[in-house]
Amino acid sequence: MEAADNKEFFESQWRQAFDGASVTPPPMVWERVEARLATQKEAKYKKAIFYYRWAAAAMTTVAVGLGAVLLINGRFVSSEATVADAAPSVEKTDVPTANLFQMQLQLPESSLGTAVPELMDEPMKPLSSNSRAALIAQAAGSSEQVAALAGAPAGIVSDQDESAVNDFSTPVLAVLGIHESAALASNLGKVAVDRLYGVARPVPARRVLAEDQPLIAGLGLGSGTFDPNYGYRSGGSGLFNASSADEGLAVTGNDYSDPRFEAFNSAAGLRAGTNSGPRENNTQGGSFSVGGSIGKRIFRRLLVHTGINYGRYNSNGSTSLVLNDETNSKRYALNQASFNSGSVQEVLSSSQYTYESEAADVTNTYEFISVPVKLGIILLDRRTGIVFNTGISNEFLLGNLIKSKDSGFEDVKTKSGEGSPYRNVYLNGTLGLEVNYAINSHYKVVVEPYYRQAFTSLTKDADGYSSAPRLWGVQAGVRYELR
Amino acid sequence: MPTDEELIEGCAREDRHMQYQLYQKYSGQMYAICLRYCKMQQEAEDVLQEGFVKVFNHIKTFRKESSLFYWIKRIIINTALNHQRNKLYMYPMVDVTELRQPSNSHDLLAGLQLEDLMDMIQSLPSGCQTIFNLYAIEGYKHHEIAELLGVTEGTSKSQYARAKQLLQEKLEKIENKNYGSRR
Repeated sequence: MEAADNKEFFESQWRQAFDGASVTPPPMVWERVEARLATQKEAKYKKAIFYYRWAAAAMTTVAVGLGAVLLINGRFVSSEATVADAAPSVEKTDVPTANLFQMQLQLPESSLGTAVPELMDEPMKPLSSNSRAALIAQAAGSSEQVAALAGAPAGIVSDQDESAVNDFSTPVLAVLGIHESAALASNLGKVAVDRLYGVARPVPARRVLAEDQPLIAGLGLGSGTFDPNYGYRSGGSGLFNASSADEGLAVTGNDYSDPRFEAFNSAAGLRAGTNSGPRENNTQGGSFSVGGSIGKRIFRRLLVHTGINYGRYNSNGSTSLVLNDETNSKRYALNQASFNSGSVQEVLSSSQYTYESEAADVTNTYEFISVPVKLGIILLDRRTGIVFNTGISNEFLLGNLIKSKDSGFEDVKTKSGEGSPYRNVYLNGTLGLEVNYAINSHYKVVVEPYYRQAFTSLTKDADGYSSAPRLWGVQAGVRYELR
Repeated sequence: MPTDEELIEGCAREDRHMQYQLYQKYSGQMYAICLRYCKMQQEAEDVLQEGFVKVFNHIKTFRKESSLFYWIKRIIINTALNHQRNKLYMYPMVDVTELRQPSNSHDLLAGLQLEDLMDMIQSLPSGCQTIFNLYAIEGYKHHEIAELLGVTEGTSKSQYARAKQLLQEKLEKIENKNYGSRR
């Protein structure tokens, strides 16, 4: 018994002697620990970089390939975007309008048969100062001014204007289309959320505090389609909305030297010069974007993110609006929107320019800086994550370039600003479904199919023949958590 | 000084400042352990360094079943044992017989500094040193030590007895020296 106690006493003495014992290590030990940790991290990054290079190459290939496919497919003519398609809807209306184009269509075949060749045979005339004044008045939607110029009674003009209700079916369909798309997306979103929650429910919920969440920075590339979505919007002071003075002119339209006729030609665009009907169409083209983003999780399942992207969007199509610079022997292919722009109107004041009836294929390329602000609803938050993104995106126009695919045409380049036919900024609504995969605690690979629809018009003439672009495509990139 | 909870979260995020805070908090006690298991200061520093790198690399797996101090201590002891294993292979432990049991039971450690005790432990043969640390100070059982070091329970017991005897002799020498100087 005594021996056992003695034994215990010996160990307890030593145990007590070393209980809480502390010896300060030399400072160089921490330096070595730190160096080892840094080396490990570096090795980890090197390994990751190898992987990211392959991932970036793969994503670029997919994005470029997809863009190419969409660009090629995008050459099909969009019926909604074709100006000529508006004509049948004009014929259906019972409401008398003051549109020369409409009046020509309603004329008996015999009168059309005589009027058309004569008009086509008429040599192209430079614009007079009167016609320019009428053009501006028409662009502003003031038929009284046109009437005054033509010497017609103002009262008639006023009555006609009241009855000249915009009866085009295109804008109505377009608006319905947007609403239906939004409703469909909303319904789909709800179904998807319900289904995904069913899958994700077994994951134990963790308390996520916003202040604990790291900032998320990302880089990405995007590619898809861009549809300028031209059509007639509500209001109708566009090129095809003429006054009663023009109606009178059309009926009696034999005196082509009448300045009112020239004025209308100008106001109605170059199509009037050819008298073969409007021949502009705008079809979808491709889009490409590159940019960065930054975001933060604000609640357990909510994420806010914003960013900045540079984008090049283009639309294809053809136009009969060909401007001929006789002095310099140069030709320019325009579209309706460009025709209305201040810079082109400035050019029209020069007598050396005339119009031709020749059609040309053109590509209109826009450059934008876009700033999206999005709210992400996190549907799945595991190694593979799914986020439903919705928000708005401001598209700041840098400029546009109309390039003809046919030879012998000069490029028409316009910077954003007063001289541009396009607004400096237009607003988009955006929807996207992001799928991400965490490579490690810091990096995620992200792929997001998206759809964007303009809420405001891209063109300055928002009430007439205007553009409300829509984009869809895929973005891919890498995201880093700034811990 | 942040709490253990905050240190764990910070280290899991690989926050260097928090890693340094954790190191500052526990490195002194861990270095004392390393010195007990090693023969030289340089070796103890190596063990401390390697142990803390393991701590930071594996802190995400810490399940909070024990205190952070004991979790780190276990890692440091295992690291020290890994270092010692090489020596143990080179100089395998054998059973020791004819041991003299300590004769007195009074407090032999009274009046000795931690440094003196550390020197005494470090002067033990490698096998004895390890088993003495594990049994007398950490409180492991002989069968656990046997399993841990891959030796028989008997070897663990006899090595411990030898360590104890050697330490007793050293302590007695010191006591006699002090007693002589006092006379």
